[in-house]
Amino acid sequence: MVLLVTSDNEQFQTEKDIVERSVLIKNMLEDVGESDQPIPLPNVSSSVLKKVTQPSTGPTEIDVRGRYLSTASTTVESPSRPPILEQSQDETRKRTTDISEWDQKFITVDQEMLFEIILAANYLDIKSLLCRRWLQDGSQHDQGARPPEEIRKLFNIVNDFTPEEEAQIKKENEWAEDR
Amino acid sequence: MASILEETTSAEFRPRLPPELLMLILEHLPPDAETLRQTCLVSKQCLSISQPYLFRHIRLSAPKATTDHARSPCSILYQVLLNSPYIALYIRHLTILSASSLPRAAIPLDRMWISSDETLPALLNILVNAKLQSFRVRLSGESWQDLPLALHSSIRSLVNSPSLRDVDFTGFDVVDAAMFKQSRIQRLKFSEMGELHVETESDAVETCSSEFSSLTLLDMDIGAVISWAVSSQSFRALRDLRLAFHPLTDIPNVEELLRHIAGTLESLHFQPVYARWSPDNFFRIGELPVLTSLRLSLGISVQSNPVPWVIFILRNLGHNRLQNLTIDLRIDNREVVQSLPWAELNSALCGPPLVNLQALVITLFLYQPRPPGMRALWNRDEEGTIRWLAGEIPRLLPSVAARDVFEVHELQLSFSRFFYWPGPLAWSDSES
Repeated sequence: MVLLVTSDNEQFQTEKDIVERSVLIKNMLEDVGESDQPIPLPNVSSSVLKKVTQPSTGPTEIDVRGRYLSTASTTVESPSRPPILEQSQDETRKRTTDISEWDQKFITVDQEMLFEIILAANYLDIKSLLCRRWLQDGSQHDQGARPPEEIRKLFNIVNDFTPEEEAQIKKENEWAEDR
Repeated sequence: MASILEETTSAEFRPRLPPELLMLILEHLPPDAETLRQTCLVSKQCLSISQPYLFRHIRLSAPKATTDHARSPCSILYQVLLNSPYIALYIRHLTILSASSLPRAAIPLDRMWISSDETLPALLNILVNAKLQSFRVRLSGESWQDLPLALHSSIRSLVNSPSLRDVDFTGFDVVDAAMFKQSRIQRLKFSEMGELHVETESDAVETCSSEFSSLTLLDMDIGAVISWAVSSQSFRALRDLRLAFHPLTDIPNVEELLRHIAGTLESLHFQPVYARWSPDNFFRIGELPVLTSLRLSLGISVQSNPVPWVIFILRNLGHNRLQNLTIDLRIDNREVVQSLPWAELNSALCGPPLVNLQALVITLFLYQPRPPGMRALWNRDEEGTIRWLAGEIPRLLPSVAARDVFEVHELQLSFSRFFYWPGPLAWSDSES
């Protein structure tokens, strides 16, 4: 167990394998070695820490960007070690599907909390929280894409396209095939 | 009016995510085109992040039966690139596939689309000066010699484009090695190749500027590659060699190729498919002084048992720096497994040439992996054999299992993933 102390001075006893999803905390633990000393997290409040250390975040330690790059790369990095042993794409997809219901619940938070979670994920360096389906439609069973206006609302983004520009982008992107 | 003002005011005071964090989220998006299409339309900043991902990998295949030829995927993309030239700079990977790679449900109207699509040469010419990194062409039912000259020329130009590093050609009836002379390609893969033309002029060496680091040859004559390797400087720094499906008659050529590149070869992957294994056709890897990784992928059945050859190779490894050894075993049935010389293999895997290994991996495959969607009908005996063998390995290979560098894995992959492993896994994924 690891003792974490949040910005509002609350203490959390948390399983080591859960907190080690955070690269920041993992590095800290490696630096200090076996120790009972609490780890201070001055940029994370207790409410946010509760959220980001929920046990069900477990199966999502997948670097989606890494998957992206491997999709089109013609390089197999370690010829002697089958790349499939590192992470099967099928398995990745399966896991991604498995967590969709949990994701749906997870992202049902108010905007302020959403931003705090993302900021904390960035500070703690938890890639799995950044690659969650923030931009997909949790209300749909098949996790379709969230419409642009919903994404704007979710992240408070201003639409700076003219109708003509929007039409041109739609036309350009029409071609791009589904992956 | 009041509602607009209210909306504007509330939007202004709502918290905003720092742009760099929004970028991080977009960069971690799941790779599906529909989400990217939507995020492109959110704002100009989101567009600048999302659209490059959307066009990163382009796959051109035959028009579907219902598609008007004038609106083939190739011609539509060509129009997009003409109207929005900046999009060409987003394309990093290009795959061109003949018709037969399509699923049955989408049988094309025109099976010879690569030969007949008039926009393809022009499209490739646009990409010559873009930032393409990998280029894959699979011909099936169409031959290189029958392709229009304009397309030959475009493909040659693309192969020599300054950004291109990976080329993967499959099913070409003939390839001219001179095509690669001035290229900056590092990783080259040929599969199911007919002939390889190699120029023999005395100035060939002097004019060559390419330098390959990785070469994969599947199911093709190695003899021509030897001529190429000997007459060209492109192989002087080859570090990674992957060979699969070579006939027995090719063994002397494999040995000669290994001798030629022995000074630089760091990793080697063999996937032989000899039907009859006997000491007469065993070949040795020989002296590979900088070799650090060796992988042997083997099919074991009643008709074919390459394990004695593996033992022979391991016992006759010359001076090496081997750190990683992987043996893939593709298993037929339990009786075959029980008849293998496990004790000798156990001894060979712990012999002096392998004492410094940092990883010793055995992977177990089904001989006929279950096709997708056939779970209920598939023969579960073979799956049971693999599972049984994974559990038996510590008893069959006790000294090996005791080594702390040892791992055993039971894998259930599709046929193509096993056989095309030396090449890019993801290509076959995108086609399935």
